[in-house]
Amino acid sequence: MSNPLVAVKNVKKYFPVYGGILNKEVGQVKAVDGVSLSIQEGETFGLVGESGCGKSTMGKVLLSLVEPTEGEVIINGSNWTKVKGRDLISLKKDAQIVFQDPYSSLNPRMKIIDILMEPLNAHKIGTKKERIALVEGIMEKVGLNRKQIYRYPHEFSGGQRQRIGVARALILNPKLIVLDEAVSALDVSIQSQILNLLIQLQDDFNLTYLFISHDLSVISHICDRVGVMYLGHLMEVADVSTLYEKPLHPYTLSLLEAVPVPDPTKRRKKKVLEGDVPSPSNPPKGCVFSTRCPRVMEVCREKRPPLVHLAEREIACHLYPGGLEENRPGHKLLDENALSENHQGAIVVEDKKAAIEGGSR
Amino acid sequence: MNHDDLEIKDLCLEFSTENGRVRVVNGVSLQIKKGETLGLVGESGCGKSVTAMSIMRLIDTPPGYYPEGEILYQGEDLLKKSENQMSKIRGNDISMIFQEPMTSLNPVLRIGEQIEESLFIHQKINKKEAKEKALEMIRKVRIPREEEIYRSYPHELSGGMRQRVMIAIALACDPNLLIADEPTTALDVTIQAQILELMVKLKEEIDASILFITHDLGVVAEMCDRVAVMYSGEIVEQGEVYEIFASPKHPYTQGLLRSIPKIGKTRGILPSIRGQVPMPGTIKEGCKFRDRCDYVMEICHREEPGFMEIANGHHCRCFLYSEEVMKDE
Repeated sequence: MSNPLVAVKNVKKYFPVYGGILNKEVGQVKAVDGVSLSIQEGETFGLVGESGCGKSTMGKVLLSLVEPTEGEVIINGSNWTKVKGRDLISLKKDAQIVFQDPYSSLNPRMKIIDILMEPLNAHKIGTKKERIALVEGIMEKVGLNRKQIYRYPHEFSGGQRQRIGVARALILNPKLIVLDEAVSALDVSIQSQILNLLIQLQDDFNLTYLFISHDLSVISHICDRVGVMYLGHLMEVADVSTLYEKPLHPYTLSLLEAVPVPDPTKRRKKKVLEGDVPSPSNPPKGCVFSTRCPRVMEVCREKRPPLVHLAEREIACHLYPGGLEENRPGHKLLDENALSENHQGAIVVEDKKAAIEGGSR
Repeated sequence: MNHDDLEIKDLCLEFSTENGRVRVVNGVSLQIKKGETLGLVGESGCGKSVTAMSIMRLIDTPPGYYPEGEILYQGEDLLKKSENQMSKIRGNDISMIFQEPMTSLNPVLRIGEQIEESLFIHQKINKKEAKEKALEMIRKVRIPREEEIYRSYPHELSGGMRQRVMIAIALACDPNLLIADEPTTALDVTIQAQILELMVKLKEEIDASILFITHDLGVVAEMCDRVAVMYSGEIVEQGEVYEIFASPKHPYTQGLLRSIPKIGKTRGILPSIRGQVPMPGTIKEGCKFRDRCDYVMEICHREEPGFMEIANGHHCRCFLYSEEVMKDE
C-alpha cells in the first residue's frame, strides 16, 4: 500500500477538570484515548459514534485545532504535532474543516465574499483581483450564484449556508477536508443535495475526506472505510461493506441494530442495548464497552483489549484476541442468556457466524 | 366517531408579523383514533409542531390566530375552551413530551416533585398517595433505584433518563392522548432505541393514543400505525404506514423516501428534491410543492389541489390523482 495521506499514531487528548476551592486539577476527561488510524489519498474515512465518544475531538486534533496530549499526526508527510508557528499555519492550507451548524459557523456580520476571501488573505494567495475571481469560481463549484457574493449569511437558507461552508474549506485547494457532522443539521431533502455535492467535489478535486457523523446511514452512503468509536477508543475499523454486512464487535452490532429502518415491513424485536455511556472522566477499567456489552466476559472487566488486525478489519475485543476462536477456554461468558438472545432474531448475527467460519478457513 | 378520538377539522393558524398575517397551518384535518399511533412527519418549518401545540392550546393569541377550523375532543371544540377549562385537560386528558428533556424539566425541582405536580393539580390526592404514585411512575418507565431518582435533580440524570422522566410526568394522570414532539431527536441512537421500545410497551399498558411528531422516517416506520406527511403547512398525504412506505403517492413523499441514505447502498448519487422549502406565506396560490416537483403541470400554478381519497383510507393532495385534470392534460 502506498503511503497514507493521513497517519494518526496513538493520539491521546485528555482535558483537565478543575474543581474545589483552589480550582486545582481534580481529574481528566479522556476524550481521545490512544487512537491510531490512517487515511489513504482520495479516500473517505468515516468516524462514527455516539455523542461524547471523542470523534469531534479527534477531528480537531487532526487539524491541530487542539493540541494532543500524546501521539503524532502526520499529514502528507509532515508531522503536524512537531511543527509550530508560521510553518504550521502554512501546512494548514492542506487540511480544512466544515462544521455542523451552518448558522453559527458563518460570521453574520461578514459578507460572503469576505468570508470566502479570509483564508486567501491569511495565506497571502494572489492579488485582490485574483482572489475575487477565485471566490466567484468557488461559488459556482458549490452550486451557488456568483452574483450572491455581496450578500450576508442570513439571506441564505441552511442548505445554501452549508454550501458556503464547503466553499470556504475548498477555496485553498486542500488535500484533506474534515467534515464534522456536516449534514446533521439539515433536513433530509437538503441533506441529500449536500451529500451529492460532496461526492462530486471529491471526484473533481481528488479530495480526501474525514467524515465525522453519528448517522450510520449517511456514513454508509458516503464512506469507503469506517472507524467505530466508543468512549475515546476505536472499537472496529473496516471497509464500509465489511463493517455493515459482517460487523463483529458487539458495539458495532448493537449500534447497527438500533438504527430505525425506514421500512415498516422490517419492524422486528430488537435487542436494545441497556444503560448509558459511562463518563469519559471515569471510564471503566477494562474494555470501555464492558459495562453495556451483551457478551461481556470476566477478562473484559480487567484488561483493555488492543486493536488487532483480523482478516480485512481491525477490532478491539476480547472475543477476537488475534484469532478467531469464539469462546476460548478460560474465558467464561458471564451472561449466557444475553448471548443466546443475541443470536436469535438478528439477521446480522447470522452473517457474523458466516464471517467467523469464512475467516477461520 | 368514538368519544375518545381526537379530530382536527380544517385547522388554519396564522401568526401576525411585521409583514402582516402569515399562514403557517393551512386546512389541516386529522383524526387520531383511540389506541393508535399517528405519525406526523415533515421537515423543519412545515408546521408539524405548531399543529401539535394548537391541540394543547399552547399558542397565545396574539400572535397566533385561528381564522378557521376546529379541534374536536370528546365532542367539544378545544379552540373555544377558556384557559381555565384547558388547564383541566392539559396534562390530564392530553399530555405532551418535548424534544429537549433538559429544557423542559425544571432544573431547581427534584424529579419527584415534578411528577407529583400534575397529580396535585388534577387529582384529589394527599402527599403520601402522590409519592406512592410518583414512585410507581418512575418504576413504570423502567428507571432503577426509584427512591434515589425521586430525590434527584434533572442535571444528575443522563439524557435518556431525563426523557424517561418526561414520559413519567406525561403519563402520571393516565391521559387519553399523548403528543410526542420529536421525543428522541436529541438522543443517541442506542438511547433512542431504548426510549422507542419503552413507548411501545407503555402504550400497550395504558391504552392511550399517540400523536408522534418527527422528521425521521425511520422512526415513523418503526412506531406508527398511520402517517400524515406535512409540507409547508398542509398535509399532502395520509394513510396506513405500510401503504405510505410501499407506494407513496405524493411527489414530495416519494422524493423524501428516496433521498434517505440507506444502509448497505453505498456511494452513487442520492436522489434529492431540488430547491428549498418555501418560506411560509410566500406561495399564495397553486400547489405549495410545485417549484420542487418533477411532475409539475400548468394547473399546479393556478389552482390548489384538494385532499382526495385515492384508495381506501389513503389521501393525497396532488392533481396527478385527479381524474378530471389528468383527462384534460
